[in-house]
Amino acid sequence: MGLESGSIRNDRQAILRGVYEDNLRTIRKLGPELPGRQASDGASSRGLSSVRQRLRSIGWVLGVVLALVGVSFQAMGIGRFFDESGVSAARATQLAPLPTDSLFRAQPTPTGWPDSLLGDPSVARLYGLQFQTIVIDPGHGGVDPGAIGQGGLKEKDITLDVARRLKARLERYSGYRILLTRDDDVKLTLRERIRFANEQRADLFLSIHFNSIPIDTLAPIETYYYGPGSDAKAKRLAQRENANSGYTLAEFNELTQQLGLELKIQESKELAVSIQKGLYRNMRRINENVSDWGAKSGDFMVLLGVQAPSVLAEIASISNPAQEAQLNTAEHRERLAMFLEEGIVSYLRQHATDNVSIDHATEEEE
Amino acid sequence: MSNDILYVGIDLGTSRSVVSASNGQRKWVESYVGWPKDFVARKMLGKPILFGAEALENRMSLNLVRPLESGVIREGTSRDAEAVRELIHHLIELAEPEDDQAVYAAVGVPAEALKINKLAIRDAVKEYADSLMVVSEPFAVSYGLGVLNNAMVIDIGAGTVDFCVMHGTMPGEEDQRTLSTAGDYIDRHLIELLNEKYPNAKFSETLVRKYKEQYGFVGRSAGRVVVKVPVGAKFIDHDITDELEHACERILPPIVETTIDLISRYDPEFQEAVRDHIYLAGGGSQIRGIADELTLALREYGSFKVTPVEDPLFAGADGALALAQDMPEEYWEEM
Repeated sequence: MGLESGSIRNDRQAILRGVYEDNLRTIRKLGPELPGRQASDGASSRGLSSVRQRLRSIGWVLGVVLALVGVSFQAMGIGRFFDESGVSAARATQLAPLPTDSLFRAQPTPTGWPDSLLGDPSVARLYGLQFQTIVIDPGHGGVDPGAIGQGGLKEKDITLDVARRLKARLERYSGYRILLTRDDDVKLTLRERIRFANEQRADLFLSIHFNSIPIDTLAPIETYYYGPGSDAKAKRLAQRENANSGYTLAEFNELTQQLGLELKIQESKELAVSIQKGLYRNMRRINENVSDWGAKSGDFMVLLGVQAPSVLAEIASISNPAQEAQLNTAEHRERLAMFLEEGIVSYLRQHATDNVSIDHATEEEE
Repeated sequence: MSNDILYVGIDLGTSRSVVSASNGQRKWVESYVGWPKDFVARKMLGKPILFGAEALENRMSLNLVRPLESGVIREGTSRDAEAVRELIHHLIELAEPEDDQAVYAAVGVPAEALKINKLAIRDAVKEYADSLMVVSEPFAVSYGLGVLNNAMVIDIGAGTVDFCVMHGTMPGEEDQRTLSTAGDYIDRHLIELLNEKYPNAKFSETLVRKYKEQYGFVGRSAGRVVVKVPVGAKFIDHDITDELEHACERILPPIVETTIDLISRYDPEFQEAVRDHIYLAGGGSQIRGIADELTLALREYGSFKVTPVEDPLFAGADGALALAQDMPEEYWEEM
């Protein structure tokens, strides 16, 4: 009952915020834009030529890389970026101001991130590939409740609620399609989720889940991208989330062959790092007991099948009674959506910023 | 709630405009604005501008404007923009704000106007409101009814029929549709039919609109509709029952088609949930038998329940007021 009335209240709040943001866009005549969505102008033309020069200067090494990943681009449905935008180096644009919530004050970046996750710029970033469609996947649903907290809170309900909130938040940025794999309490197989994301030509995919672990005092946050399970826990979790995926072994093998490993894993890893950072550092301010279990690889079928860079985030622990109590409040679920938004925006901003730095470097060379 | 602020909900309609305010004022006016044609008219009328029924009564002496004809402010006609401005001003005055009260207004407009004239409407209102939100009329109705999820509102206005599907978030363009086969379309068709049947009688638009509002029906007739109309200088009885029914029925097929087309774009589970929660609002919802006929026509596609809202005249303004009052203060500050 509490959740039902909370759901109506959430709808109302989401709608009021939507009205406000719609009117704000009218006042400003156009909405805020995420980095990388700037229309072509002088700067982006400069970016184009500078990237080309950059490409020439990099020489045959990049040629080899291109040859290797070109097939992967096509298979992943990302090749169209070349058709539509060339190798546009988009400028960083003004982001919509995040709420003035104290939670969003600048935080020091947590230390201890594996160097391997913060390595060279990815291929997509190097070529200024852009993101247009973001698919958010609320985990579980319908007859599959997911994990259930001690107080009875169901994972399927809060994944959907946070996903809707995140969608509403991301829709403030013009030029992006933000889609949900499900917008109601329905069960979708992993196959259906994957098919939806691929049919919609997702450029970025985020699956939202909540952790449930035997030690209920723990409150870990972790974000996965596709790859061999990094530890036994990751393998167990993947096994649980992959249950009834609807894929045969042959199809699984086909998927692994189609996977543009280099590009997709690199991009997914960076997205996972950005989301994990945003979640952990902000959650830490609310609850000092949260643990950072990091951004890591896992054998999640949903991450394998989606052709776009994709991550699965376990954004809080439903098995922790204190966290479950927090998750029962709309305010906290809104915060989680806000933290996820920050992670996604930060990842996209990083792309644009890198492209700008390429511009400057080339101008100096000229 | 602070008394320093007067919250105002306005339904800016093609045919009627309505205001509901947090001080309890609820008023409506026909959406006509008239300026005296010349000095003589100005002196006779004693006012620089007239609104609603008063403007209609004195239409011979006025340059009369119905600013949201066809659901939008016509482009390039500054008179229409000015009329919207004056109409809003008039509605806010009808709400009787105190001198030191700030006015926070939520204005519902036809969906098409929201799409096309959003900035123009904001400009028209900003002089008279300290803070302003503009929304579509069917959305304001939904909000007022509290049907925020699993529901559809069909607002049958004079200029347009607006559809809005509510699914728990702010409806986007894909959740809304607009048809131009609305109340005015019925009037035009009714005039044609009556002129054809009674070539010697004089049927004006105003007269025909009055017949529609008074006697309009679809489905089973409650009896013959006989009206007195001048032929030459003599008032003669005319039976307009069949013509009235035919004219009113004309708007049903596009409404059914659009309802099905819009609903079919959603998940089957959502479609199922929406079927029983279709609400009819706007003046057109008062056409006798329309909800039942729509339910009947939709039966071909399964079981539907179409319900007319209780107070169609004020549903939009009341909804806009509810939205204004629920809106967090910090949101208003930036508007």
